[in-house]
Amino acid sequence: MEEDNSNSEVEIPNVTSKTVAMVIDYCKMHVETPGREDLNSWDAELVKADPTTLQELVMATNYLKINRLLDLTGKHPEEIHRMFNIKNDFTPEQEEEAHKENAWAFDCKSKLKTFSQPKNDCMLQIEAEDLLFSTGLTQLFPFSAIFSLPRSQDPSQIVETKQGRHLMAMCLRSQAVTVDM
Amino acid sequence: MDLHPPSKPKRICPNEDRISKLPDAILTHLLSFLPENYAVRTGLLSTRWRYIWALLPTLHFKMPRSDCNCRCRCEETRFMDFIDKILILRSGLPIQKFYLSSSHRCDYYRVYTSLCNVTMCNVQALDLDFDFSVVRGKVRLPWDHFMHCTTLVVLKLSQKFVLDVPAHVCFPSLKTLHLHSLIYTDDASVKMLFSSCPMLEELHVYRFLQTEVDNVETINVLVPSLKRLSLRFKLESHSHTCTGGRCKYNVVIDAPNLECLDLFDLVSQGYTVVGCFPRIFQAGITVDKDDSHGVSDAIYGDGLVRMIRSIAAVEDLFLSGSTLSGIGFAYHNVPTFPNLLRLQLGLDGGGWELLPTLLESMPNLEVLDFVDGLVPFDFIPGYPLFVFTWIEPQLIPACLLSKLRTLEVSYLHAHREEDQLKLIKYFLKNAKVLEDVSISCPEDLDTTQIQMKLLEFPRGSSLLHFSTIADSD
Repeated sequence: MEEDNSNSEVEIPNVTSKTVAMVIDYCKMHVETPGREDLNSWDAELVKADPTTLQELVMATNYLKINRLLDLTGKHPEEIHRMFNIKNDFTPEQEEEAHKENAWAFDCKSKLKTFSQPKNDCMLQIEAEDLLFSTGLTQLFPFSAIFSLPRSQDPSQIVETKQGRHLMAMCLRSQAVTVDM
Repeated sequence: MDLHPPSKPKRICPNEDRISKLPDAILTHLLSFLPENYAVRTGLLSTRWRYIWALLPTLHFKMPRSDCNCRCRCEETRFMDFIDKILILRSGLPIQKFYLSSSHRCDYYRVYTSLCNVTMCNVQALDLDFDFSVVRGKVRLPWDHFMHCTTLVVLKLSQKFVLDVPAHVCFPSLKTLHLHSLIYTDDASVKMLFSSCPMLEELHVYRFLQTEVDNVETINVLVPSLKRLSLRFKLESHSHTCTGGRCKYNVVIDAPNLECLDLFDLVSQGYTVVGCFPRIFQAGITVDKDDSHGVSDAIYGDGLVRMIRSIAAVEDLFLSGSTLSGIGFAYHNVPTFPNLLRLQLGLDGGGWELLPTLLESMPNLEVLDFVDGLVPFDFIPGYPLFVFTWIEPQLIPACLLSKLRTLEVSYLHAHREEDQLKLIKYFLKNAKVLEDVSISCPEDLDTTQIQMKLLEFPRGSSLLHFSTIADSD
């Protein structure tokens, strides 16, 4: 919860005044009487409310917390720990397992491909075409492709083949290619 | 305990973790506002947070390819255990989207079982990526479960596994189907798969194989409900022979409600459209004939033009340079496009001599966009790779006189400037209602010089706005 010293107004959309009052009560309770013994049971009672009220409560809480949460994007777990005072209570084995699970559930699609001189001259062309083809060609698809050719290879060889010309045209249309010779 | 007076604001205890005390449902709801991969990251915060992300409506599991070839497959087993654990934790919570990419080393029996469990969770979108290229056997999907799954709306299957489609298959609610580089058993199984989706609106079939053969010669799309179709075929081995001689790749489409067609086909020799597409409004055609097709230019051209005739009602059309070359084999049969407002045309394969015929067939054209430049890519300056065959027609096409408002040229080449400017000059002179001309140039081209030259050309229209954009991000 942020502490707001000023008397500024905050608009909370889609929430009735009754819910806002509940939120204010909640905040008051926790801020002014943090040590109260029955706080947890007070909280428990709060969340036992009917689904509509609960939903509104969630929306209000969301709205107030959401700015902080959106800050989470791009933060490392350690920073999140500090921000919300969450304590890392994993055992070392659990932590290792959690990291592995995280890797399995993580979405990492890298759109950058670097094609450097392979052993086979043709492979450069085919690999690049693979990528361009599967990423959708009739729409402009921004990505980067770096082609590096060995000094010995004659660049005109690439464009003399129909495939090669096609490839170059595709790259140019996607504003992608840098030819490094 | 002391009750502090309300008028004096008190700092909350700085070390208290309030957020973790909220119930699961609320935390999950909060995470739903984050991008998925960040939400998943919260699993590393603490034991309380470890599986909150797992209650989100979208699940994404990817078994990375392992470099170790040990026989134990322990990592893969743990991966499957992990998936099962998450599904149990959710105890049947509806799944909006389930993505699974498993490697060939995963025990497929377990994958199958997990899929069955997933279909019982009211799943809406299923995205399966099975890299089973080294496995020769057929992959069985839980077809019986799919038949009874009324919530499944999107199904995506990718990577080179052999799909076994049984005799009785049904997807009662499926609206979107993506098939990406699968291997099939025969033509009939594919046809059956498409026909088993009574509500299908969007179909993407990508056939992109380098060394494998996917056992399909004719792609038969018989789907009355279909609105959007995307066919992308590029088979490196298409010159190989099938049983009974050379492969004859064909496409047959019977989809009277089609609205969008995206065709990128470097393989098929012929196209058959049953009826035509009266509802079509957008189409993109990229086809390329090469010598391994095994049909004569004339026959190929005829078939292509007949197919294009079926999309003549279109409003927005893209034709690649290679398609234009194909049309050139039967240019006398080019249909009229009465509704066409926007044409994106590739001239990177030549075909300038066809331009007048094409423009004459588009009486209402308002936007003309040369997306691949005006000339083929000429890599070595001074080493000409083509002959510029543009000749000004005797009669000015009707659309230039009264309809064409926008001319766009993407990628003005640094070489063969004279040829390109000659073509642009023609449009500037004869397009009487032209309002906007925009030309994008590569960085090393002097745009001010180009613009000066263009401004000097005689203009047929009084209102003209030029823009030359340097082509850089």
